[in-house]
Amino acid sequence: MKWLMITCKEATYLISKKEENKLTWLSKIKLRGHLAICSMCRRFEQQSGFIGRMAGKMHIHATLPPESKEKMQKTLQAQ
Amino acid sequence: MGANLRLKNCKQGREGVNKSIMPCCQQAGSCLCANSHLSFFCYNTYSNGHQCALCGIFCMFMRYYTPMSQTLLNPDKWVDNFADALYSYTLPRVNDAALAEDLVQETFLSAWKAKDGFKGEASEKSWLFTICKNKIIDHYRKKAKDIVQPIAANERQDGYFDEAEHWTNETKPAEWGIDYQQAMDNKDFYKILDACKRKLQQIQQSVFVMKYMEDMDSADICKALNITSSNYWVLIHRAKLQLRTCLEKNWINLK
Repeated sequence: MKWLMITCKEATYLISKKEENKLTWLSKIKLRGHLAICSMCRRFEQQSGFIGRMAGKMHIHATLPPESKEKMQKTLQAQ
Repeated sequence: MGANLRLKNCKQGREGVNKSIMPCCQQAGSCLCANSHLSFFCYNTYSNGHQCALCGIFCMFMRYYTPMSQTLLNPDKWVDNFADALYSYTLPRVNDAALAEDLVQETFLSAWKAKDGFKGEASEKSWLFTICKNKIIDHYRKKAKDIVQPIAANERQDGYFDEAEHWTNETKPAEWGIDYQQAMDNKDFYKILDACKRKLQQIQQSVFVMKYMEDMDSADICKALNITSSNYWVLIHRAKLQLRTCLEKNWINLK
């Protein structure tokens, strides 16, 4: 059964792959087996998915200084 | 009466109709009425707002090939309307105010050059954002050439796992006490996520931004950054581990 066992490091690596559906069937079984017995990696999976989703939504409101806007406007008009 | 009256009606119709119901005619010259009039064709109002048969039929024909929601570009208003939005979009993706400004400027210039090719399939805003997105990816592509950083694929010690490759006591994931499925709209969280992202290595940052913020396909990212797919997975893996730890340290403890 040793060939089915993976370490936490490998499991976390496979979790990233799983998020993009790039797992082979063997890796899928390995990962599922590991997640069944390792609560830390289960937690990692949840948090990893959360980070990915939040990064996609990340929005930081920033405004350009008026001088730069003016400069842009001038450059555009010069075209 | 015939022709003269019809001609008069047609002219009034041409000037009076609401442009929004005649999308194909918003572009100067695409309406046959605009230049020369054949009074013979001026008849009554067509369903698409034309009073001239020739234009009406031409318009129907054009509509078949062009989407209804065809929009006009308004380059004079670009800076006022979209500069801040584009800047807000670019800034967290490049982490550099001056660079973000340059990219926005370039976006406008490219858009200006390409404005004749604008077909109106998308709104003006999403068209500009697409251009901006390509500028950002181009920037990463250029930067990837400068980064000469060996990516050790099998680095054994990375600090997150012990010799047996299990979580160490310091690095094991703690319970965050939130609903992971629920999106969170929290400015502090975004700030910390942004700060943590800045701490990543350059190449990890590129990969992370392209993957999670630009939602690119892994194959495209590998091609753009000129890395192998196993390198890509290693980079994503490390970035995730590092971000998670950083978030846990700075955000969860702060809560």
